[in-house]
Amino acid sequence: MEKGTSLWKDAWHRLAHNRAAIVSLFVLVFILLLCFIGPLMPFVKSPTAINLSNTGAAPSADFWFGTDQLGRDLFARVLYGGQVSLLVGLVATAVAVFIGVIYGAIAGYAGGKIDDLLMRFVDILFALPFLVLVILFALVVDNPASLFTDWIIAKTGFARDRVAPITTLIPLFIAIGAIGWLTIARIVRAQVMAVKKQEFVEAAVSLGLSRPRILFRHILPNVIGPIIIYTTLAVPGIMLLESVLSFLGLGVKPPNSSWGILIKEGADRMEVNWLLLFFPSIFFASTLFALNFLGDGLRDALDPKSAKD
Amino acid sequence: MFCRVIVRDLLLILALFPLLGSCQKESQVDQATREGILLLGNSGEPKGLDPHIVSGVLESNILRALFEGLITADPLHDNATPGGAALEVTPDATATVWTAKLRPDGKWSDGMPVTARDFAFSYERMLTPELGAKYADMLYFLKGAEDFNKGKTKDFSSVGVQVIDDDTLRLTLRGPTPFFRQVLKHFTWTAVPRHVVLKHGKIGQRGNPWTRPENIVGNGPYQLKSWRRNDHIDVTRNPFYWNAAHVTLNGIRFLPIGNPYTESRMFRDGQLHMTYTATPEVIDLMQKKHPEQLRQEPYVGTSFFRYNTTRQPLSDPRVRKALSYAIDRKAICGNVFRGFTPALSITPPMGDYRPPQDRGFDPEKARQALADAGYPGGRGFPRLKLLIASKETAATLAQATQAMWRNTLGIEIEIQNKEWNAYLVAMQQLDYDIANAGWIGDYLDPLTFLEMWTPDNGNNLTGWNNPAFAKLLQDSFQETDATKRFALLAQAESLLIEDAPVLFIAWQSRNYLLHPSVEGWNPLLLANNPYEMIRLIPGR
Repeated sequence: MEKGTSLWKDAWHRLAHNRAAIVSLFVLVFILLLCFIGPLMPFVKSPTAINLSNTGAAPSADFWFGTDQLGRDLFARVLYGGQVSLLVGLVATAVAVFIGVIYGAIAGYAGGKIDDLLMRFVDILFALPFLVLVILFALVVDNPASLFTDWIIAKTGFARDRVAPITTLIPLFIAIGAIGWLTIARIVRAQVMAVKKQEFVEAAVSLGLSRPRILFRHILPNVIGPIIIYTTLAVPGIMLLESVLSFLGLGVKPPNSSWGILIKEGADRMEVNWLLLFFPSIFFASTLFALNFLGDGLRDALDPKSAKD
Repeated sequence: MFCRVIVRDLLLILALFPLLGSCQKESQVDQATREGILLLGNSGEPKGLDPHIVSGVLESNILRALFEGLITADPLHDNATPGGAALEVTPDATATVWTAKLRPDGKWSDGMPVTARDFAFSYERMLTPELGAKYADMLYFLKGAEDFNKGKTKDFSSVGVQVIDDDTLRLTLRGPTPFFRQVLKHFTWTAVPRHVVLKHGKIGQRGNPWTRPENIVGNGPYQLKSWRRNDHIDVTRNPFYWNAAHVTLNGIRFLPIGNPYTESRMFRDGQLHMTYTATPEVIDLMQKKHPEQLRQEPYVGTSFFRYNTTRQPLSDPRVRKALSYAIDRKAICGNVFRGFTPALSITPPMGDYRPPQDRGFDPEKARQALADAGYPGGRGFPRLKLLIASKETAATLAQATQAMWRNTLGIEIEIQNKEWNAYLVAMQQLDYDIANAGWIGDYLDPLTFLEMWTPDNGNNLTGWNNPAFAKLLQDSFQETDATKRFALLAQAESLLIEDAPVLFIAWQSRNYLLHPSVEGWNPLLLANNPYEMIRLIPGR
């Protein structure tokens, strides 16, 4: 007799057999650890210490990735920049997906007037230019965020170098997250509408299960594929959006940096010193590749309709 | 499957690459050279083409092709003052009353004659308060111009502009101005066509559509052919130009390329005859690869920071000095501003004028001054913001000075990055703490760097108000002796240094890339090279 297994256990089993996904998972964890734990190590230099007599140096034992146009250690800048990019990419996407999934699922499952009302609101937001909205939003929350930074520093006594790059991003998280959920809400709504007419949902209804339980236990797991695909597609877009906003003076402020900014600075100088472009790009590209392969693997693994093996 | 398709396509593209490269295609520069068209990088989209409204260097580059002043720039000599729209401009014995004899054959690009009335109308328009010309103070050399511009009188006949006949214009100045011919080279002194401006609107009307591509009429060697926003501006020969037979170039294309790195890549790819600028990295690269295409020339320009003296704690001169003494200008000029000279005054070396000198980099004095102001070791110093425009070199400079302030004074300055127009607005509304800025001389006299700091000048923007400074400049306007005049200006400049509303950083040099096919582009201190004598030699 076959022993019953949970959806998650099945999924993990399938994922473990997907070599690309597992390798990606390791790469991702490695980059995350490097960026978030690495800077705590004593051998990682300050990313903002300027040395004008050592600009554009080649990689050496002292400066692993060389130095940039102001003599700052590129290795440290890539790590600290990674914190920013990963946080923006992952947190802002998570916020957007969280809001979008719940919103879309409710609209799709409820249908009728509620659906109309909810989706017309999405249409209105869609009609407004995304970048302008994000800029407006970020402007409004910009000042409170810098007060919050000062407050954290006063309370905890951490160095500004470590706190500011992250707390000044809060407006960006909120802005991107609060506006980026529109597409995912539409996708989820359409998927839920398709799935809710299927027999297993009718079965669940006839068993007398509560509506939230049907929605979140029975319908959502069946639409997880598109959600994951969308998420993995959204992360790079949001990371790029961050560098656009930073260029416009919102988001990351110099001397702090992100991968997007480092790549832009490196691309400008690539004919003179291509390493300035190479190192941040390698990190950025590996992260995106890993996220895509992992997303691919997760979609296959989490699909409840896929065969047991 | 998806992946495999991509890999296959990539391989295909890679395989085709050498084939693409092997096709010998004529570069855009070669083609333009053959057609006699000069391709210029011009750093950005112009705010407009009305010589009374705009004030930037990039606009002046285009206006120089479309309009011609009474006096025009000489392609070789900064001090020469050849006649343009005027045959000659002659002073009286005191250099106060100047008489311009216009060319009888001068014509607008629509065929109408250029008359003294056009010039008188233009100066009246520029000074009309309703027009709100930002650069109106360039015309304050004229007697009574300031009063008229500030609305103290409505009567333009009180201003020293007099039409004697169609070809004769008499300009009465506020005082002896021996260098007035130099001033006349500036685009604010060019004429606009009276009949066209009045056809499309009133004299003091802002946003008059006469400068639209379909309406604009000028008297320069070229006329506007097309203007595609954020793409290019084309000018082509003006058949009615008095010297049209000697104009060599068939046309000029101005390209608004904002990113200097992109610009230099386009140059090296054969898309530009000349770049607007060259960044330190590009200078290094070109010195190695094509030193003959790199130009580094003296320029009359200064990079500086403005302090908002109306805000605490920058209202205290000791704080401003502390910030100024903490900046290592030599280090900046060695890296961020490759080839610039550390500035110790606002006026760069110019002729016989010897500006007084600021102290320069002195960490001890800097710390002392900050302690005297009540912030020993930077303790309790508020977080000020350094305003910069979203441009590549500005961000690098800002980060370097930020680190210098942190290291020397122990204070933290935040960098505030704004889009160019937002940056200008913030500066005009005194909504900033410290702001990065630059000034390029309008004419070859130290006054062009000093007059802007008088209290009600539109380019002061610091809130600094020193009546003694304004008085010294006023006195200099009446001084006939050149040595004594320079002494008065130097005295005024020492007040500027003493009160320190400005942090001088560097005297600029002009770094740019020039294609070998361009002949006749000579170094000029104001970079106001006339285009009409430039030759393009194919095959270089």
